[in-house]
Amino acid sequence: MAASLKQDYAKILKAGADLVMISPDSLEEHRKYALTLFREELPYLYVSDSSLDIAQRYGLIRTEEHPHGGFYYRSLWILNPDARVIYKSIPWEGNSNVEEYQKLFKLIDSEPGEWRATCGVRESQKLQTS
Amino acid sequence: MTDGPKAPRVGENAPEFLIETSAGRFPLHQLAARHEKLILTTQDSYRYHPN
Repeated sequence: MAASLKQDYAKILKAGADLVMISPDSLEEHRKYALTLFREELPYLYVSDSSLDIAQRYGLIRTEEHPHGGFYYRSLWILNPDARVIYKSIPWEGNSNVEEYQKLFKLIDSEPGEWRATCGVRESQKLQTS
Repeated sequence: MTDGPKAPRVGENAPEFLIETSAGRFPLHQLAARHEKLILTTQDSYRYHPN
């Protein structure tokens, strides 16, 4: 997901929107991840929710741990200039579903994004083609 | 299903939190006012996604 959004961030800005990513990781962990994977910081805004306060107020805590670990729902929210919710998706599957990912760009009246498959999808595609 | 308070619905105000930007720290509603649309995405921890 980070790779796709990094690649498409300029399109988001061009559409007059901005992007804030929120996760339970600290800012230091977020930066370390970016530098390790991309050798540069990720361009969009980031908020660390290590206290899970945001997750609680947005209703994003799983009652059961996800099979890959963790209790935090992936989600997508689009707000208007009055900070009212005009769209939400919980859980958001934009990391594994190209249609879900492209819906984001339709909702902000942007040209389509350049979705990049997650590692898991790439692996399954390799298995199918080998 | 989720624990905790009910998730805000479409049409409701998004719960506030602070966002650090290159121009300073802003409450969510102030940052939203600067854009046609503001996208929030929550992701689980990177520790579950080493790649």
